Amino acid sequence: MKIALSLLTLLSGSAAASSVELVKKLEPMFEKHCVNCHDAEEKKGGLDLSSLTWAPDDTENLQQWIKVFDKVHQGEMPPKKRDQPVPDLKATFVATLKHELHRVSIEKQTAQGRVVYRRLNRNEYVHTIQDLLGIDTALHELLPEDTTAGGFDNIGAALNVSQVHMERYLQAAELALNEATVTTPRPETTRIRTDYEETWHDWNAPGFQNGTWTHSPEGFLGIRWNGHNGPHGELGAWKPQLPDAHYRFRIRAKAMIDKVGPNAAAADKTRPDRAILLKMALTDWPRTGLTFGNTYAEMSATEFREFEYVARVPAGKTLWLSPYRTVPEKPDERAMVGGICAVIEWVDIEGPLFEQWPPLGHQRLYGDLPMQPANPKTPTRDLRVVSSQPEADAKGLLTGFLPRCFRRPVSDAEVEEYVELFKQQLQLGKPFDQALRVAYKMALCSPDFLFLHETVGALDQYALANRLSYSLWSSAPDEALTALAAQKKLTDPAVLRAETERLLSSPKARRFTEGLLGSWLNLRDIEFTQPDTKLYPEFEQYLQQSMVSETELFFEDLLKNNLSARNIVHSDFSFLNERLAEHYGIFGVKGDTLRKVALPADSHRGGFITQGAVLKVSANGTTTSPVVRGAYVLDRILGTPPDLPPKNVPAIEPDIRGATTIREQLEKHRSQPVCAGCHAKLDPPGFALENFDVTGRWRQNYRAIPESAKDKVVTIPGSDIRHYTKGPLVDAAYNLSDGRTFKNVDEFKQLLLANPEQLATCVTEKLLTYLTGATPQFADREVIEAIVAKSKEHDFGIRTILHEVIQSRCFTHK
Amino acid sequence: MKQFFIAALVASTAHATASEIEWVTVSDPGNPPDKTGYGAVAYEFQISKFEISVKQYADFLNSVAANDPHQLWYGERKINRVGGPGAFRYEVQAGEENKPVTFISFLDAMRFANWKHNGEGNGDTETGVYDIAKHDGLTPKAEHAKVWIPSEDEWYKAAYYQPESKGGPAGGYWLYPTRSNEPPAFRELGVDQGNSARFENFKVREKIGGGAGSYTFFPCGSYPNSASYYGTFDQGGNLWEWNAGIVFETKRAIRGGSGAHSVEKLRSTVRSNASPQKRYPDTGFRLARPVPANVPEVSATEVTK
Repeated sequence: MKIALSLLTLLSGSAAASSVELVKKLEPMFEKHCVNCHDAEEKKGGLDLSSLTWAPDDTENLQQWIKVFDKVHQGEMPPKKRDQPVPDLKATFVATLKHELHRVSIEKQTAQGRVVYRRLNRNEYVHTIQDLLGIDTALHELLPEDTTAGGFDNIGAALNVSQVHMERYLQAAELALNEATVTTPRPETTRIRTDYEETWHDWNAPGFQNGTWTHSPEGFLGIRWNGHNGPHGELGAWKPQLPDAHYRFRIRAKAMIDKVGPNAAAADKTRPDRAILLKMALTDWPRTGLTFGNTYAEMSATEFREFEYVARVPAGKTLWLSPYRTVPEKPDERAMVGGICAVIEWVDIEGPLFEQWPPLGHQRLYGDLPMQPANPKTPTRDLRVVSSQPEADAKGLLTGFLPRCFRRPVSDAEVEEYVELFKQQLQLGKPFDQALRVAYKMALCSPDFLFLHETVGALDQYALANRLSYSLWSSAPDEALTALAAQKKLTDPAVLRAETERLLSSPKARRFTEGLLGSWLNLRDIEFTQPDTKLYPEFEQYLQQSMVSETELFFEDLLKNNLSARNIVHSDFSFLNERLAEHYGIFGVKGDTLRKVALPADSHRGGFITQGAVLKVSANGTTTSPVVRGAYVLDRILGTPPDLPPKNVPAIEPDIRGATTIREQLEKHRSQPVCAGCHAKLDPPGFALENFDVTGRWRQNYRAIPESAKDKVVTIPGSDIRHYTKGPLVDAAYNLSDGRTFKNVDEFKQLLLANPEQLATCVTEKLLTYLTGATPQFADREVIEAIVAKSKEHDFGIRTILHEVIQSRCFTHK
Repeated sequence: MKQFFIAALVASTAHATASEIEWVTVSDPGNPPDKTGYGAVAYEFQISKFEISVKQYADFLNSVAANDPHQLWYGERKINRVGGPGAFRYEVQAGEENKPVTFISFLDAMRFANWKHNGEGNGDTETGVYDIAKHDGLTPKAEHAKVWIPSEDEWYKAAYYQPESKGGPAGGYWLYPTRSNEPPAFRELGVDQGNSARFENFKVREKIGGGAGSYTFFPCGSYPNSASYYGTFDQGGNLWEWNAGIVFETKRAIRGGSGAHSVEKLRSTVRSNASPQKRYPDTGFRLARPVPANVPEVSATEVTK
């Protein structure tokens, strides 16, 4: 009765007539099956229905009602052990609440749209400005990190704008315009050959020279392994002729095992003909030992091979080359670092490289206007764009630039505002180019550039073009897409579909893969934890890069071939290179290129959930937690995120000494009634993945830190890596909350595959979220159900789902 | 015993007149190249028996650097500069006279050769053998040079060649410039059973003094029984030495290893390089010249046999 009263109270008013009807329909269910546990006294699960009012304008209140609906609809409530409602009662309750929640949601969408007016996130900003000005300047570091919602970093409701943002936008725009503006004649592209000999002499420290470098029998300088970040691979005797330009490095190198140097003892265990990975990167000069833009290629020990590395080289940076690890050849053989060398015969350096001159950005900013030196005595530097008719030229240039910048047609009046700004600067005495740049800078910091402009209802042609382009390219529409918008053709479903295909076929679609998976699977946080070097000494950057690439290539293959959403849980293939295959215990994959590999039946691999990158981001650096991994799978694979943990319940800290298993700890934890309900859902997927350690490697036993010298340290044949002891056996068997049991991850995956609709629904929700910049709302459920039903005709194909999302009203409307 | 005595006599004689360059003749013209591609020289020539010494370089400075417009003096070379501009004088630190001069750039060596070519004294340092004007260190030597920085083939032949017919190895080239295919030993001063060289060996260095990372070198010719076939000393170890080989279009070749580096650097296969303007603490040079008329063809090696 208390429930009915509160409902009646809240529904009185404008919707009083229908509210009475609603109360009548909901009241029997509440009275008979809910209030015994969810009243003010019991308040089970923290839910007091007696105080739950109907106030759907309040987001939190609405979410409570949606939760009530879901619990009853999915049969979680009332609990199985309690009396169950008769079918009619439950059906009436579900239908009534669903109708009301949908009505509220759709009314809100109709009035306000489902997507909050949103700014470009950091990735989108950087890609947009880079594409606009034809630069690849690293601007990420200048901008604050974006806040996320539901794991996604492009959700309008979470993308705030602060004073810091505005300051940084000004800095970034200034930097980008500087980068795009040419101030010299075209620099000569040269090609020089060099090696590390002069660098080696330059070190000027005999002990370091001898410990870090050697000479091969052929007489070429060999760079020894000196710790993954130890300074030793810098080509110090070269610096970029023009900083921040691209250079092509061709390297002729060979692998060598050095049994004389400081790692000779370890090298003794290695055959001299082992292939070794060459790490190619950029690094600081003077040296810091830090590298970035790392890539890896396999050197042969029997012949010199040539490798190519192209990079944009900022001032104060130079090339880094170093040996990385041996390439294992046999099962149970692990990488070696002791005694490995990269013998460098020569390095060809070609650059600076230009696609065109003046570069694209300069042409967009200044057209074909002539340039003159600021000082006649220095005719080849400090060149400045000049104009004999400043106002007319500025107006012409801004008329061309602003529509690209704002991604829509720009009126004469808008152009005039920026021309006025230019004229003011000119009157203040600024030269033509600087006055013009002030106008450009203001444009790049204006809401027209920083925000996506959408109006309530169906998106107009340009807003739709922007939404499609930002979805798949994380950047502004190109000329072809803009032209279709101008021709008002983009709202034609066939045209929209064709454009979707065209954008997906572009190299820029890699941004879609990275952006989507960065949020959906949280690959963005792949660097967030570093596996403990004592417990997981074999983990290294090359392996991590391979893992991320595997997941990205895997998703792109699902998309390209319209493969089923089932594959997110299990597939009979993956994308592996030799290093990753070895990590997975799969042998016979050669080389450093990731390629599609049929997985052996007993590999335990296949699907997102057994991929290294996913297993790493769902663990911390030391241990795995079935709770954390369980929550990850529930949210990101099954689309059923768990409730937040209750306050005042401490987190479980795994015992890294290996004395107590996580299963024993969790069983104790679950004995508390307040914990049992959630853990019945959380723990099964977590335990199913317990055979994978924090690096994604298959394990039969946990690893433990040795506590005393008496503890037997694990030694792996052929390896110089041993820091841990063998801990307790892993037990991955468990049962789902519905009672179905599994013994291991293979059986667990089969249980999930029994419900492909659920997997397709999750994929649809994640795509819908990413593509529209808003998390699914209640009114979106009917859209999602329709998309899943449609995709079923194509075995829940991922590409089908993507197209259906883009064709849906959720995508084509604000 | 007789060999030791004669060799010691040869070496001590050389040191007694340190500012004079001693020469050995490299004969056997028309020899084939080594498998590395280096070493073939079609003519006879002479090459300095020792690396140019601190004393010899100080003499050079005292002749041409009273004002030192080309900044030939470099404080790290064990040579002190006294006096003021226009009256600079250069004094060798005690005990360093016979040690090889270090911190020599290829440009420094070019100027030294020009000075020698121009008759020493106040001879020009900027022209003669090499035209220094471009400062790139890449100009070739003049055709009729009286003295020059050895070509890479000249340097290589003097270091590693011994004709097979005269007791040399198969193919005529040793791997090390001590007439050996086995790595030389680093021995204390006064101890040389042959095949010795001054390279980096921490244990020996501890005995002779000089901490880790320091550059300590022996006087020129300190291992009297470890000359090359043609009688040169220290082409392996003690100092890296410039030669006139051009590497990657802009650099000059360096060979022989040094007292700061491990023994494999002494091999014939190791060919290092650097920009001609660079000065290093373990790099010096030696010179070459035509064979003067009426010079008997006797090498130190042949004396000790």
